Amino acid sequence: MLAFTIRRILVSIPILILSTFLVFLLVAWGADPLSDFKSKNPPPSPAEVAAREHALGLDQGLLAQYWNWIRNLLVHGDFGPSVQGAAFDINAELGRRTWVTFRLVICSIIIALFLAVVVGVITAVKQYSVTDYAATLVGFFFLSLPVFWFAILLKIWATDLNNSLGTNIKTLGPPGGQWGGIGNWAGYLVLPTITLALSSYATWARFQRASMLDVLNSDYMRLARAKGLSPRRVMVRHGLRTALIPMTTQVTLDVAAIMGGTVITEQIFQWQGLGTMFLNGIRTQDTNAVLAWLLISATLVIVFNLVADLLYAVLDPRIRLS
Amino acid sequence: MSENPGPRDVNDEAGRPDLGPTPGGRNAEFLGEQGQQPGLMIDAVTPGGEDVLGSREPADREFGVEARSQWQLVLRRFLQHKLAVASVVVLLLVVLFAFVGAAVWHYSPTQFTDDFSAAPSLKHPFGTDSNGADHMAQVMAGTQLSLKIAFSVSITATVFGSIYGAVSGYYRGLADTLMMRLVDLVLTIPALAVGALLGKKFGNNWVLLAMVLAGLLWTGSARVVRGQVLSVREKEFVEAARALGASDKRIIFRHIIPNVAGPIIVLFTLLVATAVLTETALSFLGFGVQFPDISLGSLITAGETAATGGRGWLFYFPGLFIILIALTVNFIGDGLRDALDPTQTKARA
Repeated sequence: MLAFTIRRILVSIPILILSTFLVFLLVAWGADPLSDFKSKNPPPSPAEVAAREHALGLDQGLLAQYWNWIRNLLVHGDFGPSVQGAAFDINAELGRRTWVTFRLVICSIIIALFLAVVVGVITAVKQYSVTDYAATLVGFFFLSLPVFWFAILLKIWATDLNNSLGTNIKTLGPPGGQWGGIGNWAGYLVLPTITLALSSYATWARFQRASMLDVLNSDYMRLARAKGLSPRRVMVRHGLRTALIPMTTQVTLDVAAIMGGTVITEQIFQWQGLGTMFLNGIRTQDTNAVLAWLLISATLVIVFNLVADLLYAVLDPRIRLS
Repeated sequence: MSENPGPRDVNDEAGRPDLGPTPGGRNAEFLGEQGQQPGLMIDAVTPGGEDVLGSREPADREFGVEARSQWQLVLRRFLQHKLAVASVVVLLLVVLFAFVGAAVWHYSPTQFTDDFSAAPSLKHPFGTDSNGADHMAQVMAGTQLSLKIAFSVSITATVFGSIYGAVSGYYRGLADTLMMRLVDLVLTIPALAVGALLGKKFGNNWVLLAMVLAGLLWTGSARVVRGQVLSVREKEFVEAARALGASDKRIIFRHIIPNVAGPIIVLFTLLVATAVLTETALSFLGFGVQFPDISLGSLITAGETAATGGRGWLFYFPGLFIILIALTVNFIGDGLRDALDPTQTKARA
């Protein structure tokens, strides 16, 4: 397994480098990171613009710029300067914002996972019952729900609730990432958590239902029942435990996507996490900020892919990595 | 065969213990384990029923039994999925609303009336915005553009992805490895990210925007089709075609792709939903469709502030139409998946 892991990591490195290179070209191509600076009033002198360009390394060719970026990153661990001003230090921001995004995501993943397993198992055990159809309908509804619309809807409802009942549900994220005491945690977390949990549980519930159905129809389940085990024990020990294996890999794969996909949720609830950093990066044509975000999210995808494969091999005795 | 007696859902879930004394239940399971086509066998051995396979022309029948083609069977199975059929109707209504409605409706989305911020009424069924533009005309235009983009994206992405996957799976070896590494590469870049980067440049041209989205969403069909092709290419009919001297191109397009049509069609449908949700999200963030074009997403951007100011109609209607499109398309995809599944025998008759 060690050899497998090492080989996979080695294969991933060129993919990561290529993907940063592609995104670098995409951002840098035709963009003018200094357009905001140049359109200042009074307009900066050509010498000032040239000095700024030189400081950011923009006076070199595209390939040289990319080479500088990757050399800086590998040698000094430095993501490079930002055009959003000296106050915006990408290296420091990255650490802080990863933590903000993580806090945003972790609760919703746990809730979504719990919901998915419960709904998936119940609908599989009671296949073709009213419960099954109702849960499927609800699941399809949440699959088809535009996240941004749902998030705004929740904000509107929360405001009404705050006004009528005097609750303290926060519709915007903690300013500067500061909670301001434990009492405020729930207030900040409730809306984004509901948004993310409901928009991701449905796929998992379908998956859990399918894998549970597979297991329910297998011979060893019949054997377990035939030898007189209690239905509960058959379901939990023999059924659910096996049905969770494919689910584990699926969830592991999706977690990376969720971490990278909080852009919309962060934007609407104004959390100063990685997603808003990416959006601001695009708006200000800040190549280094966008690249830093991409590197984090692409690394997450690759690492979680690897973890999913390894987990599968550990959990399922039938799989051997060669 | 429609008058054949007895329940036919025997193979629906082979091995469910609580099926009870369904005729042929155990039989079907037993035969199924021998690698037979369970559906066919049940017909032949239904206890108490006639030996259907052997009785091509029974004496008491006054009509011939017509053979049904594969697609007729698929259609019959699809028609039994009531939600999917209802979804087809609703989706067609939405399409009519967007394309015919926009042509018939006496307001245009850019026309300013004297009713400012009017609530929904008979004159303006969806109300008006603060400039006096009729919101129903706006929603029609937005639905039209969002539908056009979604269908262009899914057609392009499915066609490209299928051919890509088929070629990759057919040739295997080094070509396959390299092609799949490219898929991995595209997968590391979140669709929303590149959409935002390029959408900003191409947003004023919806065809280009659709091509950018298609360039990001083709990987799913490529992976699935490759997997299918890897198994189909080992089948005897492919070998037979090769023995007859068919070229690789002919084998891929005439023999392999038609045989993996089922998953491709399902993927296509589901991709329409993904494309609608991605495009509207991008347009909502300001990176997709740009003014003066109208997308359902950009309408919601404008509606967000309106809704907090008590003019909720500007927010709810565009959202409702996004949900309608995505939901109906998802149901249709689900119905097609059931209908195209060759192991599905529930609705044979």
